[in-house]
Amino acid sequence: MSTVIGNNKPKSNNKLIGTSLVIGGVVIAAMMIFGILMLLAQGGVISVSDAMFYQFLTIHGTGMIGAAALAAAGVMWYFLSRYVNLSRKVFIWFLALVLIGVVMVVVGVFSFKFASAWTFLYPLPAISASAWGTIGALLYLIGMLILGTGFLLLYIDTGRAIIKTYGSLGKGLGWDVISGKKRLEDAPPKVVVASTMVTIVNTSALIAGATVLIMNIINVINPSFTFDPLLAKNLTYAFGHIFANAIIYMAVIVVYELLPKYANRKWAVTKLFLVAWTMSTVFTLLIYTHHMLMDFAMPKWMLIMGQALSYANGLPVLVVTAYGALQVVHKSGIKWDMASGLAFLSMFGWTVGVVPAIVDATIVVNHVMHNTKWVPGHFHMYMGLGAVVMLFSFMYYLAKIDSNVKESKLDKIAFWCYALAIFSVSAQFLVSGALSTPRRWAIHYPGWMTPAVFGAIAGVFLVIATSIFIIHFVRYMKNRGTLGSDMNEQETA
Amino acid sequence: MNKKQHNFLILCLSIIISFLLFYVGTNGFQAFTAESARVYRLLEEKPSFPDVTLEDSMNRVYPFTEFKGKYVFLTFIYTSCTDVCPQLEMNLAEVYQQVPKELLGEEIVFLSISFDPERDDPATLEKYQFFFNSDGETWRMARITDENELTALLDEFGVIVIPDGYGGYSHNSAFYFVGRDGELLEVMDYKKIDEAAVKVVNTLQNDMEG
Amino acid sequence: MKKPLIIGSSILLILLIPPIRVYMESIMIIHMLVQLPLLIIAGWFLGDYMISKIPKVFILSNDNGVPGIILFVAITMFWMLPRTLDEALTFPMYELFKFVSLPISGILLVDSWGKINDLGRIFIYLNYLSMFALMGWLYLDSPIQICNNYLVDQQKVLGWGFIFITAIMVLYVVQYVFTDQSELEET
Repeated sequence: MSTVIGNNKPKSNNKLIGTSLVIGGVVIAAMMIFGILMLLAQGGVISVSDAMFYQFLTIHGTGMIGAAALAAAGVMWYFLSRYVNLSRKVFIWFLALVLIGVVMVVVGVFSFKFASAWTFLYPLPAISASAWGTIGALLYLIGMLILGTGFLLLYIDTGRAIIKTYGSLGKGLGWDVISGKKRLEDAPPKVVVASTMVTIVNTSALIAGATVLIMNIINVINPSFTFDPLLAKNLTYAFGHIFANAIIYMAVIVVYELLPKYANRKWAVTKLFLVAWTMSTVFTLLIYTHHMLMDFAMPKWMLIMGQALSYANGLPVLVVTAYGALQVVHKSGIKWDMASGLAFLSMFGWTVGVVPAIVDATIVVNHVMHNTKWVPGHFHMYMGLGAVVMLFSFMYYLAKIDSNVKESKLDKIAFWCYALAIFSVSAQFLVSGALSTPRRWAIHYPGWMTPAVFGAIAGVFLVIATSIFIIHFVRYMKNRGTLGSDMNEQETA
Repeated sequence: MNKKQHNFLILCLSIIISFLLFYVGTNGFQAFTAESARVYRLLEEKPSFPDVTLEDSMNRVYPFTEFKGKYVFLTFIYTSCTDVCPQLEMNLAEVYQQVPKELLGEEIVFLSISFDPERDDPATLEKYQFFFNSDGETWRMARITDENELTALLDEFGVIVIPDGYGGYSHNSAFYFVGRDGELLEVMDYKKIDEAAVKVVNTLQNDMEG
Repeated sequence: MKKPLIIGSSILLILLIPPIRVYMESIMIIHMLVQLPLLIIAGWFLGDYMISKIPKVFILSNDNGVPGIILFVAITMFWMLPRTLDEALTFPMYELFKFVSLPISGILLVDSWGKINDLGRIFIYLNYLSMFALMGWLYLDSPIQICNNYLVDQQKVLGWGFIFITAIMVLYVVQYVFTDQSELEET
């Protein structure tokens, strides 16, 4: 089953994939600047009006999640297209729709002052105390809807292709291997397993998202149509949490593909691996309830489930991946360069980033901590040191195998600069959280300011490092196909 | 014309037709419910108040033309209503309070019309009046005893009343603002009290100045 | 083959019989979830017949199925607006338009469904899934009476009807993606 089929033109696909990564990378860097501005404002260094602060908060969250998901989808598509027959046309549509959506969101936020944060919690879009009008809310909500439609099309295509090649999504997750009907040697490759998982969770998330977005649109147009806010919150987080969570499951594919090649060892699919991914599929769909731990009106069993499963959620995949990665690398004489270094760093970031998440998912702690900066601390570590690093790793990987653009000393400096900077940013949030600094507050008491200023300074280094990564990748995009590397065609383990 | 262009043209055509369907069907994306469409249509047609005979809480019987020369601000209710009517009347009372005292009864009359003449006799109306501090003079409560007159009025003003099977009625609610010659000027959202009050007071003041 | 013509036109005629029509429209859920779908189904059968009789018209007007499916979505969405259901009862023109537009949408559907690819079909299906869920939610949750001609109780029943359909659609997706589709395609 693991024969390479489908795409006969991997090289021309690289341009398409590259485009998604350039857009993703540039937006991520731009959003970091808004992050710095917010930290500077909270630290009392610059003065930003409250309304402006929340616009920054909205664009920072929306932009980061959107851009990271866009680039991660590119990574997934790149590797998955070697095993199943994906449609290039759909990917072009996906890119186009996402771009249209992004433009609408940006216009809605900056020209029409929409600032309900990227969670657009009902009924905030319609009731803003005149902070923004109907047009701003509609631009943002419809922009998100178009963006979501782009992603939905992409996942329909991956799902369709996986079913066509492997028979069903269950088989894409390797259920027939788990049940012993099929031999382990015939198990689907890791790329397919991960892609299947993401297809399942993200399609569900996007349908929930579409429902709640259209609901908000109806409410904005006609405020006399009201809805149950608790159900709205459930759907919003079923969309938001899953979608954000799935970014790392798309991005991690690069680790699976890259490390074995560099270490020149096989990273075989085991039963444990398959079970872990199936477990994470189920858990990811259910744990969004840990966002509702403070909503006393929620049924208790859902909250307890949210807590218990949150402990268990990331762990199965994380453990098999981290353990597998260590096994592959250990004493292999692996050649360290930017791509493999970043891949390894991302595994470290993912592992470390899960810890604060698990602390927060505990109901008792959550009541005290969830509205502090502890939570941004967790997701900046998890995303910034985990998922996004995987994307950068892929950028260097693609540049290496498809061009003669060389890595320089500057790139190495950027690597350490990035690692230290994002670690500082996350640590600053965690420290603030421990000091009970509230999150989402535009103005801080003097006692809360120092960590914010520290974070802003670290943020500047983060932007510099990210820019160096992106410049390297843009240089690759200009010199594409100048190297016929055998690594490109080589079959993966 | 080649095939691709042909298909593209038809695609555009289908999108335009779809757009038109919704545009026309919602009065230019204004009215998504029959209620909003009803208000929209009323404002287009501006029907005048049909000639009906009212019987009010003070047992007085007179035709609607009695109010000729005055503005009338009115609602449709029934007193055994347990859900929307009390709120409707509370809101009407708030509009009433915002109108300058000297204009009440002179330039404008407030009126609550019951569409349940069987139960809402003058005595019942008088009791009901008490709950909302209505004086029975500048704010009157009345029923229309003649079945045909009542139906004609409800039809003309687009009030839909359905018996709910438990002795109550389900009906649509709004503020109706009627001009000096009995013509319908405005149908207003009964939840937007201040908006309605501003509108009424402005209309009256403009009139007096002009 | 005249069978589809007979089935289609007889469904349409039965729906037109005044007592049946009035009865169906007196109950909200039957109006929305029985009468309207039956009109589309009648169109489906009529379309089946028409395609075999005048295939050229369909090739010319709906070559790749996309325009047809767009119009189908537009017409069905139009009839899901709370307003239209109400107006069909109040205005004869609306009622007439209902009995014309929905069979047409059925004709468009049968023609387009075979022409659009898998991706399009799945996309349309998932669209309706979330739309039905939303309609269910709207009718169940609305504290106000959305339609002037129907009581809140009937509105709730309709809401549950939509939720039920959504649940069935979800179950269908789940069984489709988790049962083996490879053998089916080979045969």
